[in-house]
Amino acid sequence: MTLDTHSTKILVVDDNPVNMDFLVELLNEYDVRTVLNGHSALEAVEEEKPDLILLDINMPGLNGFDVCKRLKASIETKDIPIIFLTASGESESVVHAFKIGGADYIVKPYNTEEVLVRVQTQLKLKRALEMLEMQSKFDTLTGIPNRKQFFHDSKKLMQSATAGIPFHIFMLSIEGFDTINGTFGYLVGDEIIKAVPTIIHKIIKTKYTLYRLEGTHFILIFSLTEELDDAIEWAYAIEKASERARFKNYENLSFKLSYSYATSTKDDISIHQVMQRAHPKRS
Amino acid sequence: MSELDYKHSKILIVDDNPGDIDVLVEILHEFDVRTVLDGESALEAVKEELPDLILLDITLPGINGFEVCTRLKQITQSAHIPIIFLSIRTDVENILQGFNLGGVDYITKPYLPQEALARIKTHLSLCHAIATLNNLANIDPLSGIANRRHFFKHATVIFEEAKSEQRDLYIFIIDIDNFKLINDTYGHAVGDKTILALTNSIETNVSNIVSFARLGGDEFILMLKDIDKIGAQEQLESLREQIASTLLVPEHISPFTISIGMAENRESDKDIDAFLLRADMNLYKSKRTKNTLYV
Repeated sequence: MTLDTHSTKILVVDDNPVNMDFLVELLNEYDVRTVLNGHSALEAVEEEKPDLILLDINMPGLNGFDVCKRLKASIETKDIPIIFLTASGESESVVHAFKIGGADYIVKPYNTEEVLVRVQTQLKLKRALEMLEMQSKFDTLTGIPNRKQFFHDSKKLMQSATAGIPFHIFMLSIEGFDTINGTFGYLVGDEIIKAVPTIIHKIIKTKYTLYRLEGTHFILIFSLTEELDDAIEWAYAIEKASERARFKNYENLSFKLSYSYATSTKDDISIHQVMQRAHPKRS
Repeated sequence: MSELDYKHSKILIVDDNPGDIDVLVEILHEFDVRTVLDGESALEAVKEELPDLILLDITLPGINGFEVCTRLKQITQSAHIPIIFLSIRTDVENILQGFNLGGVDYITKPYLPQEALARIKTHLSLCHAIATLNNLANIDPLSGIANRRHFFKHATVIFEEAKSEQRDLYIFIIDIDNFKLINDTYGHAVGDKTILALTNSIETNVSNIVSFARLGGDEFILMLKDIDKIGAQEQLESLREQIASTLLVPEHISPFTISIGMAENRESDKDIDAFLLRADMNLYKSKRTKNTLYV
């Protein structure tokens, strides 16, 4: 995994300007911010969340351990890795550093290579965990929220529905997709799937969420206040726009995003019930 | 270490001092730990079973830790395994050499259990996260089996291998009859259940599978090896019959059916596409002749 170092933000907290200068010089490839005490560190994090914090333990006022504990106690900042900087390396303080959530520690005087490698390791781990979080929520092909995220979000929708605020669910699917795949190949099929969010984005001028449920099936949820008639008009416009869509180098290629829809009621227990009721346009 | 939770990680300890090993084994009791006392044995152990992480002492009888690291990094299968050096050598030159050879960390002895454990866990999580990320891109989110992209990458290798070994290989392309009608009649949720039921049936009823993937929609692909043609055919035929005679999805009014196109590899196949095309043609014929496995 490669890191874009220039956009990676590291906050260095140390009351000793000489140590500070050494680290700034060493980490010159990164976007480094420096502060001289614990209070400024908390302020700096509040202002802009860094990707990593190098935190001196012994500082006047709020020490490194205090800063770490406060950051780990907040949901906003608890995932920022902290590497402690210590002059001593004495066992009690090292044990404590790990106990309160420190990711690692480095003993002064610094070994250049060791600092760089430990910094890189923590940054790589943070990036990998963030990507994992992203990939579990978003569809890889289209980049829009995926099936798992839909069922996750549907819990909130169902709560509102039970409370008397109904929502409209539109199920969109690409018609004749098998023929397209068979005639033009899978890569062209993928292009069509990728085009769906773009088409919808160009048409709908109100708030909505689009999910890729699975294969050629998408789910469109309008904000709770949208009138059903308006929503149907949007969906109709999407269907028409999809029929007009043309692809470079494939003049004979056309497709259609057909839709069915349903509105939740107070009695619905699960999202599946609402989905089950979805029917094509009104006759 | 794909698919494995990181708690089940395998760690190899290489150290010539039994006392030091005991300490580490105690610290790492929650993991699956193996220990060896010298460099040669370390190389052997890695060849036997790839560990997820190696804790490597530098001073060893015979070939030393640096040499072990260098050799492991030269072998494709073991090059990616994270190596943490553990040593009494605290001088800058040794530490630098450890990192230069590709070590992910360097812990000096004596160390605190907490720091060793924290650093080991950091690297295991990192490995696990990267493996999971690579895996996610290869998996179909609905069925949980390989996706088309992964199939083609994997299948080409299997095809070439079978070709050079002059072994028989069978491809089956399977699809659900009237899947669109199932979706339209019962709704997408039941359509999804149908996909899952077929996936499950194939996984539990077919043996000698070397590759199994969902190509998209209701289309699956299966590769069988180390089995004769009649055996392969019989397995799939009985799968087809079983699916047609069992109500696998309770919401369905009657059991769904599948069509299957089969092909066997030929010496004349230049690439996997020629092989796949025959299976595809046979699936088409199978559709037209209604529910038979077409060879």
